[in-house]
Amino acid sequence: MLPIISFTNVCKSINNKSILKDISFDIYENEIFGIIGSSGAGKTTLLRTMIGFYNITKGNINYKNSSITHNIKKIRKVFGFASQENCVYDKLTAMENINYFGKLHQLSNRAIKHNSEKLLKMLELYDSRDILAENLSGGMKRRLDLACALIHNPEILIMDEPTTSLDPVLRKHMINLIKLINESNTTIIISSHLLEDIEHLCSRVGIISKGKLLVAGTPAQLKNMYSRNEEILLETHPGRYNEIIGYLRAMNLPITYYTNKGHVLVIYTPQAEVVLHHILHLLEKMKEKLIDVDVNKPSLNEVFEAFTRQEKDDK
Amino acid sequence: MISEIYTIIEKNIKRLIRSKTSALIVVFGPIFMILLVGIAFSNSSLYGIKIGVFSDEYDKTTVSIIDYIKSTDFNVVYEKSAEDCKENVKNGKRHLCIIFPNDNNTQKKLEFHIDYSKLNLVYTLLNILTSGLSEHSSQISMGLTQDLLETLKTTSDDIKDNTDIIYMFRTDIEKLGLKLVDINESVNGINLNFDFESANLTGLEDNINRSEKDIESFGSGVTGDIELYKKKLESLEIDADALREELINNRDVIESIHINISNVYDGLGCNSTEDIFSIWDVETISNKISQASEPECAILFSMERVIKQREGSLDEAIEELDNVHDEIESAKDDLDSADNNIDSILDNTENKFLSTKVSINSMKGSINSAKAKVAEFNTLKDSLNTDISTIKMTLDSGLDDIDSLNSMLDTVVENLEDVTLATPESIIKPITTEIKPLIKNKNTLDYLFPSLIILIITFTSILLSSTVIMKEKSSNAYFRNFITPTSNLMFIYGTFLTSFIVVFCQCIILFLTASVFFKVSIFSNIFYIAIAIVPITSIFIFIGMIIGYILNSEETTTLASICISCIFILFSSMIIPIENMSSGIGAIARASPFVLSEIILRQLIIFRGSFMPVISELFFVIIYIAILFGLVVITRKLSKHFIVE
Repeated sequence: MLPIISFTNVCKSINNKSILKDISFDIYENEIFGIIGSSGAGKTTLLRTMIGFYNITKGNINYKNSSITHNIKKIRKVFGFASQENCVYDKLTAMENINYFGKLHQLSNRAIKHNSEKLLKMLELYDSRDILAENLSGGMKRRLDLACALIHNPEILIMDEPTTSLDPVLRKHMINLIKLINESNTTIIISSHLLEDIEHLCSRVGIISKGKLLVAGTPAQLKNMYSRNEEILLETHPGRYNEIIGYLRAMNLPITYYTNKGHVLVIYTPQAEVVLHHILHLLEKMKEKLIDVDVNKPSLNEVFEAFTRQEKDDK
Repeated sequence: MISEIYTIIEKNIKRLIRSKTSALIVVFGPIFMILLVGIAFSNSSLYGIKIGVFSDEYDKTTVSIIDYIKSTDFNVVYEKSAEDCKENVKNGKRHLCIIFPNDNNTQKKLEFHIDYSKLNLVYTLLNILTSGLSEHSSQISMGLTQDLLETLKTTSDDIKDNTDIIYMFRTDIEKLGLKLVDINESVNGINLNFDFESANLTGLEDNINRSEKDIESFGSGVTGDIELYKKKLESLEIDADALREELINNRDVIESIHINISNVYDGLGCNSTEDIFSIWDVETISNKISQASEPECAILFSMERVIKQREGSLDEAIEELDNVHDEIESAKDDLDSADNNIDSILDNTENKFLSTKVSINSMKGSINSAKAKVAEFNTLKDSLNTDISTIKMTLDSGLDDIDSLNSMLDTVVENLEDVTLATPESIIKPITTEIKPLIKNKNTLDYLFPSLIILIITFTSILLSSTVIMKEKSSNAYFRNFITPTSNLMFIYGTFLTSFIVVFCQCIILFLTASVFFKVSIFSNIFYIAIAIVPITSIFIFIGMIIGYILNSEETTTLASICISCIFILFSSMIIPIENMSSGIGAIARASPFVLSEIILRQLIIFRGSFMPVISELFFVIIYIAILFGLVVITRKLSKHFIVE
């Protein structure tokens, strides 16, 4: 399958600072592609180059084998962008905002009317259509922003941190919306640092760190690339985790690594049963009360941390 | 394209109106401003002006001046001292302090103490006061001038009356001069240069001596000669007597010849009846000769003629001899007498020579004395010549001076006559002024209105457009504008038109308010004014847009907008005339869009002209628009970085 968007050795510098460094990856039609990275990694910049807001310093970004740079007006008709800042006018109503941006996308009045009604209903903003944007709630504003991004029925929807600053309920709601939008044959590119959302939403994920794309693939592929370890989450009282770790080390058990997260000890091991068995005995011996224990496959979070750590170590 | 621009304008206006404060300011601001300005400046009087006065002694003139100031509706406050008066100006209690001198001079020098930091008020106050005081001073001067004119007239008449004296004086001097010339010539004509040596008195004396000697020797010689002559005379007398005797004898002979001839005549028949010898003279005989019938007669006649002639000659000779004898006698007597005379003369001559010698000596003395006198005279003559020349020159110079004096007096009289022709009014006020406004029936607001319009347009345009831009940039939606297919130009047009519509509406409100409430005449030339407003407003809108795109916060944008507007106002004629600025700054100020706009609107509103008189200003305005538009495009593109930051 041919990619709909191709990044080839894309570099971008701003004020002599290299923001994107040799990024190459593909996005396929109708997929939801996630870009994860920590704050300042270059996610927003990457997304903005896609929409033509930034001119790339080097490399090429193609949409359907045409360079975005040479077809910027067409790209903007085809791409939609939902920003994390809720790019709407506070002094316009929801409907006015949507109409305004519909006009800027050179839609006819009829198309605007049709699309806006559809979107308002879809995004549960219909009843609030005449309320000024400044008077809408955060979630509603986010949805309004999304509506403005979708008014022209884009083929590609770029969403920058769509679930940031939303409460869990709204986040779940947004995720469902995204899925709904994707079901209408819209390719979605999402950036986020909330890896749990990306993990459940995206068909493929790219990890970006300090302007570099470290890896791209499905979440399962990434997890497999990262590690075959299982994750043991241990919560005890009083929580003498350092002593536990010391004892575990002395026992020469097959522990890949561990992380003391304060109230939880996370142990990564390829033989979770063996290690768990020894841990339970140890706890009894130490008179350490077991509160909770869980065994998991590694999350995307860990994958991300692992890759970024590796990147740091490689340097 | 148009629908996009319309959408952008609609969005901007909605945002503006939905901000209540903005709406208030945008709509009511200009009305409020024009009402305030109209009420404040509908006349040109000054109110509430306090003038402090101080004088050690309030004499009549001082009181009259103070009364005049009071009559101009200014409040006059009498100060306790000069220092108090000045201090009150410094601390703002008085607008002006006038200190009157305490001397009694005719000319009073008033001291005006004024705070020049209040420039506009200063000029107006000083203008009113100095013009009034000048008028007052003129009245005083009128009386003095009248006296002066009368005096001049009298002087002129006196000079005219006495001009004849000068003429006579001149004539006398001329005569004197001529006289002197004559005298000089006469003096020069006197030639006493006598060559005394040529008189040669010594030679004369020598000559006299020689002469005396010569005369003595002459006398001696003459006496000797006389004696000799006497002797010769006696000898001669004897000879003459002898000769006479002889001649007598000859005559007797001749007589006998005659008788013989006569006898011959008779013989020949030549005789006539007359006695030819006694009657015929020679000429008759000659005739007879020619008439003779016989040649012998002719011969005889010829002989007779000869004899006659001879006889005549003899008789003459005898007579002569007798005479000679007498003369000899007489000569002898004369010689005697001469001898006596000569002796006498010699004696006299001797005496005379003597006296001559004495005279010569005396003459010598006199000559010497004369020489000395001549020399002295020559010296005197030279001196006299010199003095005469000097006098002549002095007289000539005096004549020149008199001529100069005369012409000067003529000039003085002419000048005086010219002056006396003038009236005191024409002297005190040779130039009167009548200020005629170019357009009649206009009040202060009429003249202020163009500047007021420009002021409002400047502030409103710059502030509004910069605010619109800054609000846009501050809005999260600004980013989205850059990722739509709509080009940057549409956004620029939209923002520009938004500001333009608002400012234009404000101008309409302004015009209506001014026209209705304050009778400012606008609508007679509204077509040109409306067209001119477009480019003028555009300039300031673009400036505001540039400010909005460049700066990154609302506060700095507002500050910058106000600063730039203030700079435009400061470097225009609204506060201080441009002509007061230095040449370089003044040239820059004249090129300011504010000043150009003011000139255009003044021409259209006050003078109701067309575009032709201000075509160059319009041209520059359009150039400004083109340049600013380019800058707007550039700064909008650069404003993307604001989103990044």
